[in-house]
Formats: sequence, C-alpha cells, structure tokens
Amino acid sequence: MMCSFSSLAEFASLRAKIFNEFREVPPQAASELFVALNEAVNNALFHGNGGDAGRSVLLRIARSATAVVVSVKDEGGGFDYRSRLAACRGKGLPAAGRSLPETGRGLDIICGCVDRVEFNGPGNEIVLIKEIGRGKRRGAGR
Amino acid sequence: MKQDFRVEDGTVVVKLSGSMYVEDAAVLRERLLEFSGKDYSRFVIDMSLVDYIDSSGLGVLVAIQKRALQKSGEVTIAGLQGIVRELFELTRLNKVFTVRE
Repeated sequence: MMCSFSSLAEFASLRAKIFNEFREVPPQAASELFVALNEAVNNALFHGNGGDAGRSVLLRIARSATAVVVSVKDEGGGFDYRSRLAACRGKGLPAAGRSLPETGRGLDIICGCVDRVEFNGPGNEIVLIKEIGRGKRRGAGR
Repeated sequence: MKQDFRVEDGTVVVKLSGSMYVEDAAVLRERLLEFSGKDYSRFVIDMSLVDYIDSSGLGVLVAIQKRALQKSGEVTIAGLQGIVRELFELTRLNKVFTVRE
C-alpha cells in the first residue's frame, strides 16, 4: 500500500487500515513493526517536516515472502543518521542513569523492533525491514 | 485511549486502556502535570489494558517520574504485558520505575 498525509490527525485516521496490512504477519512481529512504523511517522511529521502541514509524509508498505518493508519519507532536509544509527547498533541503550531524558528513544525503539534500518542519502527517508520468514533474527544490530 | 484518574490515600491512580499514541500521550502529560503541580508525588499507572505505547508515551511517564522523584515520591507501573512490556525492557525503563505485576 502507499499513502501520504500531512498531519497527525490525518495519519491517525489511517492507523487501523495500516495495521490491517500486517494481518498475515505473526502477531508479535506485526506489533513490533507497527510500533516502529508509528515512531518513524512521528519523527517524519514532527522532526522531518517540523510540524508543517504544508509538507507531506509518504508511507509505503511492501511485502515479500520473507519480509515486510516499510518506507517513510518526509519533505525535510534529512539529518545525520549515520552517528545515530551507529549508536543504535552499538552497545544498545545506555543503562538508565541519573540523567533521564524524556525524548530521544524513537530511533532506538525502531532499531529494536525491526531487523534492518536504512536511510536514503540525505536522511529524509527511512526504510524498515522486518523479516517474517524462518530463521529470522530479532532486533537490528543485535 | 481511555484514561481514568482517581486519588486514593494521596496516591494518583491512573487506569489506562487502549492504545497510547502520540496524541493520547499529550493528553496524559497535561493531566499528570496538573496533579504534579498540586503537589501529588505518588502515582500508580495501571497499564494492564494498554496494547500500544511508543516513545512519546514513555517520555510522558519519564517526565512525571522525574517530577515525582524530586518530591521524594515515585511512579509505579502496573500490569505491563505484551509489546508494552517489551518496549519497557528494550528501553530499560523497567529499571527506572517500580514495576508491579
């Protein structure tokens, strides 16, 4: 499926339809994928497009025999995903310490919920790959 | 998402049910900050009927925990299950809150 939206309200009205796209995916994998997709969309709407309703987010979902591939593209200028992804693939999340940030967990959650995360060059498109076939490994970079 | 608030012996007990998307997290944040502003520092969040949460919802719980700790209170999270439990463990926030079955 492919759809585009410009606001959280618009996206909210599409959530049930989107989740339904995962009806043939095993329930736990479907839940994880749905969490990662929502995180990616929130990032695209609020960070990528900066909450500007004049900009759209394009969401595409494709499925093969062994994987579901979700792509979320915004109209922002991208960001330095390389260092963030490296941190994601590193030791995992830091132990909960005294400094307890209220934000910044989105990409870590995405990495933990799908098998592979890729970005396009500028970083305004994220691709989430969730394997659903046999012998899949769990969690990106683990 | 349905959010029910009541106060029992000075503790704010919040019963959540449904999916906590970013828009629900904003509502919850406002209500919890209201209680925190009235000097409540002990919170129990019952999540046994919550089937979805993401970083926005987790951020709200962290925000209220920080305020509670400043006033020598705490946030207890009850009834984690399924994907919600999985995300608390993934982000290690299960070590930040008192988690009750």
